[in-house]
Amino acid sequence: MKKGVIGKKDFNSWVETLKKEGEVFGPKERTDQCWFFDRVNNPAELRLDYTSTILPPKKFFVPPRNELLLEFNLKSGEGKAGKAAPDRELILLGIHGCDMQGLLRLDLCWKEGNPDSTYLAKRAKSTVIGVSCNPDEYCFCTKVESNDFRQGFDIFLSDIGQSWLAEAFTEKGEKLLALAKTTEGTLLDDEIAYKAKARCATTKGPEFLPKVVELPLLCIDGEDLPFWKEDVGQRCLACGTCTNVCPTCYCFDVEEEVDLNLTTGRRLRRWDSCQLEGFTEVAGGEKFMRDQPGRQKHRFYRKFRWLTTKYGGSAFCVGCGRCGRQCTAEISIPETANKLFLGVKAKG
Amino acid sequence: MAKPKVAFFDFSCCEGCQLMVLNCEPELLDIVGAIDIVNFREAISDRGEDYDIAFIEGSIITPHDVERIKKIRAQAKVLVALGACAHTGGLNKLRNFQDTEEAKQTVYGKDANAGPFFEVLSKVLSIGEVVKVDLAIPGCPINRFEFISVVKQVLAGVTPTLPNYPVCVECKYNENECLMSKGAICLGPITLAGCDSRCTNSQWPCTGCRGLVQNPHLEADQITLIKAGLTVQDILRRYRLFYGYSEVVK
Repeated sequence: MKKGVIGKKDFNSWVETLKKEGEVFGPKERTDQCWFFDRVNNPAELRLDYTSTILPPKKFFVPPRNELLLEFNLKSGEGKAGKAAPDRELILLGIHGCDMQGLLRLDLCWKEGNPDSTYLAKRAKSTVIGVSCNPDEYCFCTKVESNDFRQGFDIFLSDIGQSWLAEAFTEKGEKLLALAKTTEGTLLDDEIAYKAKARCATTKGPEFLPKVVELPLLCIDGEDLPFWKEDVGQRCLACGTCTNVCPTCYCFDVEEEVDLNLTTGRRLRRWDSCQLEGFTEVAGGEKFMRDQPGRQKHRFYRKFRWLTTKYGGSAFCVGCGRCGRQCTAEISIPETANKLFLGVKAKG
Repeated sequence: MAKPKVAFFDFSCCEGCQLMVLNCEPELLDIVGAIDIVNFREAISDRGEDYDIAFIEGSIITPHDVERIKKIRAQAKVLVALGACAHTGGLNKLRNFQDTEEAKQTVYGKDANAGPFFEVLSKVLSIGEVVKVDLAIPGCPINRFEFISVVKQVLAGVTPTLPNYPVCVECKYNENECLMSKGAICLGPITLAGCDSRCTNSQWPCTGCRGLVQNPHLEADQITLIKAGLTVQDILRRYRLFYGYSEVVK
């Protein structure tokens, strides 16, 4: 691992150099306290002190809609796959630990079975530079054990006041870090950086009663608890926001369209959501998932039971807090987890 | 294959949806290359009565309208309701919550019953309440890209499908901050998408112009609206603006 301290006054010129190495995207502020990842035209637009963005970084690898999978010609019968890898390296600057964990979970899913070549090609052509975060009352990465500041990152930046402490974990990262004007850090710098990373653990987030390892079994024992129907399922608006803003949700739909010449056309992909009624609708109008309590339970179980046991590891919720922060009905993962925990406990 | 003959007709409306068709400027040449427009009062002076596809804008409010739409239906192989007024009755349905005579007096004053032109049906009707509608393009006004998409699908012989999810989905695709979280009253969670969340993209809350999504979660929506400070009467008033066709506001 290579390490260096970049003075904040030298930081923007490093970002300018990064722009020569690839397309740089990072957090910007749209309106007060509303952030989003976008192309960095001017390094001064970067808001590395952000809390969370509306959409997670998955949008760079699977865009919300109009992702071109195939172009076809109905007369000649020819088809041409959409371009998978971008021409230039995709440099994501300012990614939090939870979002990196989200990308690592997506990697698992998209590699499995029929690997998704479009997603994987984009991931292979990406560099991720992490940043220590600025958590709010919705964040709970530590509760789901997703506060990792090394795994998956090429470089990680910790805010140490007047400077950034940069740690490069990969060859790609070391190459980019070598472009920065750095000084050697002191032991004190390391300690301040550690404190910056620990902010996730020390900021008071929502109460989260169960341990994450208990959740797969709690899901089994709590399947018939009344709160699914009477509380969460009833309050849910079925708007799909929770899955659209989730860093580990990847469900999609594929649609085809033709041009007005009725000859050429294309196949496009867009995000779909298990919270929407049409999601499980098949020919003939039959729906596999008929009600909202079932859909909400499905979302929760996918995060804490099915994929967790399938991949034998971490929860598929990374604690970024986006779903709770953006839910109009104020449904959140910690709230649901607590109701499940208390409900199962009360059953004895 | 001969190009299908297409006609546009309007009933009670502002004709804004037809203007949206004319706003398809980059695509207009391709459109007239694919279809033969024989009747379109707002755009051309020809008045062809031989057509295969009829696009209908506006609501049915007079006995004369009823006769006219029946004639169009008899001629058209495919009849498409264009925009909210045709599709659901749109804003015109607000009159159904008032006394007809009073409404007429308010609008026309002493001339309210000045002749056969002022004769109105007791209720405002959508096109589908009078004749069979094959397809509908919702919205006030329509989304011109959806219009083009429907034209393409009809020409390709595919049954066009509308999204069956709420505006929130597109609002999130566009990475907007939820307006409800900033204290606004937005009907996005129960309104049919397909507009590309065009209002909320400009920080303007959804008023529901495309009508309700299939099986809207009304109870959940009302819980959030009451939390936002609305009374049941307030909610009803907002719902009635564009959901006047639906049982939920009766």
